[in-house]
Amino acid sequence: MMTYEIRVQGHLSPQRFRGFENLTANQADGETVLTGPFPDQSALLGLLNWLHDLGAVLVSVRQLEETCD
Amino acid sequence: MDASILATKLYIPPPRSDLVKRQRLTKRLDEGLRLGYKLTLISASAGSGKTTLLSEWIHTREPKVRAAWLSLDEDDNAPARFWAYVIAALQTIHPQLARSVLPMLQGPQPPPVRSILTPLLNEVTALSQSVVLVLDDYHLITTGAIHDGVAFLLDHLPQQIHLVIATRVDPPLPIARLRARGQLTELRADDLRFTAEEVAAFLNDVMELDLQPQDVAALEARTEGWISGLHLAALSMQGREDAHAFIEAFTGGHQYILEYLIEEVLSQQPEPVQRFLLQTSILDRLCAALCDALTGEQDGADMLERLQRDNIFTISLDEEGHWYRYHHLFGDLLRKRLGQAPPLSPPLAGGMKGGGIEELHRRASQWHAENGLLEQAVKHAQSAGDFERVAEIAERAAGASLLDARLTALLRWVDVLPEDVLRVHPHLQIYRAWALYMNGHLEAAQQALEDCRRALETLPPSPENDALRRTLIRMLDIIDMIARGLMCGMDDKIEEAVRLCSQARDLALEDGHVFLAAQATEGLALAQYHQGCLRAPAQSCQQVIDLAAQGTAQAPLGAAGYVALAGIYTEWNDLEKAADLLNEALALCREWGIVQTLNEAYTAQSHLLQIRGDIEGAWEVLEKAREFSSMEGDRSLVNFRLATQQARLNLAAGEPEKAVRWVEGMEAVLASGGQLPAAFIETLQTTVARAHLAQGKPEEALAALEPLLGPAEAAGAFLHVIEVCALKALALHALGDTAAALTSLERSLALAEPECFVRVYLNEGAPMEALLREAASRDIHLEYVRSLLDGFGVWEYESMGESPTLPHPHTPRELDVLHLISQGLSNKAIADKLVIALNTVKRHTSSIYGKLGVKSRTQAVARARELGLLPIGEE
Repeated sequence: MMTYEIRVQGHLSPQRFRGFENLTANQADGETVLTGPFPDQSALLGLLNWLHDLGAVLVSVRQLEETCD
Repeated sequence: MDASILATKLYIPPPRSDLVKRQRLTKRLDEGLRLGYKLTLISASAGSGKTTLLSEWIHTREPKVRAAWLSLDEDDNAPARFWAYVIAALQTIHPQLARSVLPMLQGPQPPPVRSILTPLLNEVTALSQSVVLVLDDYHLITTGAIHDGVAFLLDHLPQQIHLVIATRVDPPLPIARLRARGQLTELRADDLRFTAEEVAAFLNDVMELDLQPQDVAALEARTEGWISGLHLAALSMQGREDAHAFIEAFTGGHQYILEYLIEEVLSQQPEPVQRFLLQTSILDRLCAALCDALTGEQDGADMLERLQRDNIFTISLDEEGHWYRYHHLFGDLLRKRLGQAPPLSPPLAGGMKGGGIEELHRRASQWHAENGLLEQAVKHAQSAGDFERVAEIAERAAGASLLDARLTALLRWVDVLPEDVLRVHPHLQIYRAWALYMNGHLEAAQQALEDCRRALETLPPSPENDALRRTLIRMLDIIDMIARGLMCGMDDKIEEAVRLCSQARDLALEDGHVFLAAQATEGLALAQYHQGCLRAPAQSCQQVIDLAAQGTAQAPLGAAGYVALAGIYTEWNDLEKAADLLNEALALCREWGIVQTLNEAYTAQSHLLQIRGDIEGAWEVLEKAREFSSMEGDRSLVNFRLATQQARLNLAAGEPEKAVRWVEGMEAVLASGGQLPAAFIETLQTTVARAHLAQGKPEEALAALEPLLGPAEAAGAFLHVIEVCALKALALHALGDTAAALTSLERSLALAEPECFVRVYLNEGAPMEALLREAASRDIHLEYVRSLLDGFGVWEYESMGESPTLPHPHTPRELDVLHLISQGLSNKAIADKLVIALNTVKRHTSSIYGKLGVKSRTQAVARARELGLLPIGEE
């Protein structure tokens, strides 16, 4: 399990996070910071794809730490 | 199965003979099924063995899994198509499932998804056998509306369905929720990774490589147990002496390993095989004949057999071994390789005349077109950049049929064509205009017609072009006349509407455009109806039905004819006939997926049920109509009719204020500068008048009606004159001015009698009955008024809110009366016998007739016997 922090431009409403409910969303400086655990790359890419489909602009993707299951 | 459904997409990939049994994974799949989980999610990168695992599970499980399989591709991102395929997949297990739903999805105007899913789920709930529904390659779906639909499906999933989603990335579905509730089986990259034992079994037992343990361990480490990497490595090593050195030589991420290994696998194939692989890599699906068409060789069948035998990433798509596809990952890399300049080698280029990949696409397009697979033909023509070809195919498809799912496809194809190609295909522009028109985009259709006219004028003069121009301009004129005729009809330019529509019909019949003739006749019927006629439009409707019956291309138009004819029979108070006609219409709508007419038919059915006193049923059917209502908004004719029926039901339910609110909402549109057709305004004002009458405000009702009369008389919209004069008479009567009321009623009756209008009076209930009695007592249209009065009391049980087919219990006194009627006693004799007033007997008989749904004593007795209210044979 890995924890990632994803920053996107603009304010995303948390209601729109169907399927990614275990993420926390914080808003600051015109950006939305999503943080949460991802079991693997397929899960992370799923979120990125979905953000892309929403038209969200990615600012950064950062791996925070590696945690054991 | 429907021709537009590719059976190969529903075929479960066969089990591979060279399989490493993966019991630790199939056990987990079993467990999810056994515990009744809703969803299995298999999420892992390309080439992890997702599809192979599912295939192994489905084919080897005991007891057998009933699996419905759908291999998704990028083209499935249109919701209607996606759900049509889901239903087709389920039908491989339950052929009768959702038969009525599928045509809707393939019709020209796909309905809202929920109106499809709800009946589908209801039918699934009734199944005795459960089914595993597999959606493979779900990552290719990027349409939010489809994810919404699948989420809805998951939320409402009956226990008869277990959903399996295989995907490269996690889908935006409520998975965390299912995981938290323990309703999810999840297999991810880590689970699919081959363990050391599995790697050894694969390399040594399946691929028969006989490797040393340290080499196996090294391969496992290099590929991270990634099966596609292992597979490619094994293929590369077959027949190699120096396996150890080979293993040492490659390292890096998946992509790097993949490219390296594919290069290896390719370079080991003989040159003809290499060429074959690259050339055919542009195909989503391959068969021998198609491959031959691409390569110009005759060895397609041998090649495919060889690839299958050597296990070179080909997957069989049917039982007969006819269709194949390349493994996605392999196909992707082959295509990438094909696109690299310079081409693989001179032999590759030598095998193709002209420019490489485009020529391959062109050949693929031609083969698909020759074999009737038009979607694919268009796709390859587009890939070849050959828009002329797209135009040709579209033109062929358009000629064949203009009123099914292909209509939408046609618009999509034509819309990508560049101007210069469109210009030399005037037929296509006409079809496009017609398709826009059929889809309700009147303004866009008008624009398209004008573009088309302009394009025709620029055709260089030649005998051939002149003839073409003459034919097409005449066709344009006909379409133009129909469109203008319909608009005039709505706008109270009724004589103009009748003239345009009948002229269009005659021209269309002369030129043999049956489809256009039927459409024009439908417009004519509507205009004639507004003129206050019933017999002439009834004939026109019959003509539409007859024209529609002449061929399949125009068959769906019959539905509109049936709905309009049902309206006329409703007016004549022949409710049985009207109900039969609506059933014909509904059957046609379902068969052809005509959502717009379906909506109208349900609205008309709701009105019919309301007349019969089944208010609850009327609301239910109106809900159905709403499910199929389009997004066009309040101002489309269809949605307006729906809202009108809702207002009628509000009035019948004693809630006039709701009806008034609707009218005020519509008037706000007018106030804000919007425009409404005259026919709409008349309906709105008469609704307001009825609401005022119901609220005991006849003066306000008069005020609403008065301004309508002059324009309607002037326009010859006698349908409205009949209605408005009748309502005005009611208002005047309520104000106590009986003389003026009768004058107004007389005007109405004089117009209505020749065409035998009935419902327009009966619908107004008791106040109208009282007024008509006044008229009868003064010999006003006596015969006609008497026949109208006979109709009251027969179906007027609205307040009881139940269908007359489910009779209300008769009171004991009514049963006494019924009994005496059956003995042949006159009303007077019954009154004497029961010691009650004659009028009371009449009230009882009228109530009995109503509950039994009959009109005479003889019918009452017969019906009562049928229902067991009277002993059989008693005289």
